[in-house]
Amino acid sequence: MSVISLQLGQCGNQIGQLFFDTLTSDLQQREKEGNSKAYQSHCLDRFFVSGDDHKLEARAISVDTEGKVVSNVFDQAKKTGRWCYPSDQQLSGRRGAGNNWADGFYNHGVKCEQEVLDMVQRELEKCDHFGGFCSLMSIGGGTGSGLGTRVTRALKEAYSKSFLINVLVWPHSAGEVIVQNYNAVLSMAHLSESSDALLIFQNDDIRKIAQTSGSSSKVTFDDMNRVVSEQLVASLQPAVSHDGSDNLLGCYLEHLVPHPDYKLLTSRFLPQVSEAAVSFSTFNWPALTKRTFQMLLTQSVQDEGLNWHIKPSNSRNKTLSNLMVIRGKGCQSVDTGIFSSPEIYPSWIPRGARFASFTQSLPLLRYEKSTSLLSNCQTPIRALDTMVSKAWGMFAMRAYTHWYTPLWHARRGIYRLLCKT
Amino acid sequence: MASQPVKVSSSKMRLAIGTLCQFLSLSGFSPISPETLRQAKFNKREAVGPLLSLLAELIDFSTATQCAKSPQFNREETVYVVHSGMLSRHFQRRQFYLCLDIDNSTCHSSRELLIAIGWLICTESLLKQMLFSKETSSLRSFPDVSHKLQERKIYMINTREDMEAPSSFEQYLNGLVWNMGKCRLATKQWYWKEQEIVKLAHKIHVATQGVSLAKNRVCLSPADVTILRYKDKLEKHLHTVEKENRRLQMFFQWLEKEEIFWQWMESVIDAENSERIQNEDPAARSQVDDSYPFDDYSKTLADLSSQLDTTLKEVTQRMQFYDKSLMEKSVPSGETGNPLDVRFEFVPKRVKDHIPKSIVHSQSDWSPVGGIKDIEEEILILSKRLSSLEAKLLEQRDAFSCSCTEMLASIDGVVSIPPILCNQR
Repeated sequence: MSVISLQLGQCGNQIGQLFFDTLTSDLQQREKEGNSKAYQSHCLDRFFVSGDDHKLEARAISVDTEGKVVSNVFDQAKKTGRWCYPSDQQLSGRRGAGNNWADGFYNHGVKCEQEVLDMVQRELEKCDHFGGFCSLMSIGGGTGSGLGTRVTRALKEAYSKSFLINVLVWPHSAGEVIVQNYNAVLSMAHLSESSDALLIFQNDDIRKIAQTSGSSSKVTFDDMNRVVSEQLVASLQPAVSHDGSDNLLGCYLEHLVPHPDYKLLTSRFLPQVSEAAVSFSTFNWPALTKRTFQMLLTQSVQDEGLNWHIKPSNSRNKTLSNLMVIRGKGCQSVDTGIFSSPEIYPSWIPRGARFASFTQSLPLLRYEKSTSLLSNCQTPIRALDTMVSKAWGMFAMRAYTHWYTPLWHARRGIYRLLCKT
Repeated sequence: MASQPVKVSSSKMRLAIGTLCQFLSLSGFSPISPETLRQAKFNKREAVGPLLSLLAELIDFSTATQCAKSPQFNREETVYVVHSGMLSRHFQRRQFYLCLDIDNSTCHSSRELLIAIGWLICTESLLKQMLFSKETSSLRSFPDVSHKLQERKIYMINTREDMEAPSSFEQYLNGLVWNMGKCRLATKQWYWKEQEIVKLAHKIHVATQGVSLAKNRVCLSPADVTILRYKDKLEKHLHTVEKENRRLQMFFQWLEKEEIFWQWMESVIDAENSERIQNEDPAARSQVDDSYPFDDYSKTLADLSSQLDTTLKEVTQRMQFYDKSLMEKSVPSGETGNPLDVRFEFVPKRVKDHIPKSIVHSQSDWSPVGGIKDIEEEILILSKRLSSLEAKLLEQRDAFSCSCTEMLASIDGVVSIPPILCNQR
């Protein structure tokens, strides 16, 4: 299976670069340990293609309205010496979208839509077994939210039979951009129709995780992006189910988001410890699974400060389905029975379709044992509600609607999309 | 089947049965030994299990799936499948259904199972179907994804069974949308798998132009490439080819020995019949005889016929005796006898006078019934005559006694004593 990544906007490109970097560093570590040829070949076939000079080229397309970010990530990839981006699979402009969703969607989006589709087609032709698209973007700014939404819609129209997952970085609850609520709501209104699944990473949560697992107290965007990329790697690296089938992207989506009205996914990853603390920590499977389950019950993506009084019977977090990827020695014998508790699922979900697990006996990165849980649950609802109510509040005051007006009939459009969400 | 029963040596029979067993086993059905079939002929209980499984698999194969050993039936399902399968195929052997014990999920007669298997193979030409079926063939196309499809099918069935009863229409609708979404996404996966196969096949065709292992092809097939690339797969493929070859050989052998096998099957049915007759007690057998109504009728008719013969003989003898006695006792014409004994005077005359010459029978043609009737009539007439004569006699006696009394009354000193007969009256 091959996954084509679309890095859209600054955030998308930076996360994408770190994602591929993490992948290759993981492969390097496994290579040192030996006995992982099949794993390596699976991983390489999934995310990389062998270039002309036998150098690994990421199956990725980089798009941004500013050229600086794209050239930066290209350079950083080259510097690693392990992999690179294909030189002809990038698209960048001179002028950014200025945190304006409408500029990204109606201006840059229209201009570069066809070009992006051509690049996708070229990349698609390199795949023997195409698994799906993975779009990486933030929805607070202009390029990722506007152009990213446009590209997603175009992909859906052009490749209607393909699988498409959008990895969305949710803006901070306060502070980043003044119109982030509008941008996010407008993006979500479009993406909920175009995409098969929306995997949401909230900046507030990522920051806290980065603080816990980082070495210094000052958290940078790079640290936060690393957290996101590690969680993505933990979910997407090769693993097998109990019946021996691979963890294809289609399998994930089939299990997690078959209902078209419920597409929001949340990722939870354990352990969340700093690199320095890993060597002093010991993990066992019951503790890891129990903690992951408690995180699910408490709607938390963080390991710290879990409320252990919450039980399945009094949990407010209803989930439709869960999928767990367990990596490390002895993963086959892990008891995941607690994830099948009927109290946390609605009764109309068939019992057999509620929980699935994939295992990989090889460790991930520096973690001897790790669990990654993808849930179709109510965790993102609170953030979404907050965002929508803020956007409604701003719209009621006609605040900043003029930003969008030159390109779009903003008031009517925003109102229509706000109603959708 | 054998049209004429020819004595076949037991070794040939063993070979024929062995051929069938091997062919079935190579076609993917549960392995079965010739010994099991032999045991079944003698109705041994040990053969019930394997034959029941085999019959269920054969029924399943011929029904729809055309796939040997596709489902793993448990015992209950096996008996149910066998019962319903044979019933739907109009297998009308009463003993077979009697020996299938659905409640206890077993069968009491291995011989009946064997007969049913034979019947099924014969009527549906199952062995031919197996030969041409892709599923039973070892040479399935690469890559083999049939087991995946089977797993998916089982998964979908389990999912359907897992669904709890919806408490509201909304829940029901959500469940439906969920399952439809699963189907939609699974179809998408299938589409991309197909795309992968097409792409890889195209790559192989382009890369191997001019190189071929088969005559009618100009490039290597995906299977050829897989074999050439992976040594272990080559060995596996060789093993598969050998297995398929052996299967074909078995089929050819079967075609030669088929007639012998069916002869053997006839002997199984004969064994069943003879055992049944031996096992029955005489009372039961007579009951069985009674159950044939025509036997009764013929017996009754024979009895009646013999009774009629003896009756006729007796009547003829009696009539002859009567004739003789009549002839001897008949009074010669003109001779006067006792006026009161009118019988002997009357009968010969009547015989001679009243019977027309044309209908006078010879002695041998004499109808006994007619003779008896005449005699009875004559007796009746004579008895009437006798009674009338007695009445006349009584009148005369009365008249005589009255005249005597009148005469004696006129003479003095004479006492009249009435006759005893008169007093008695």
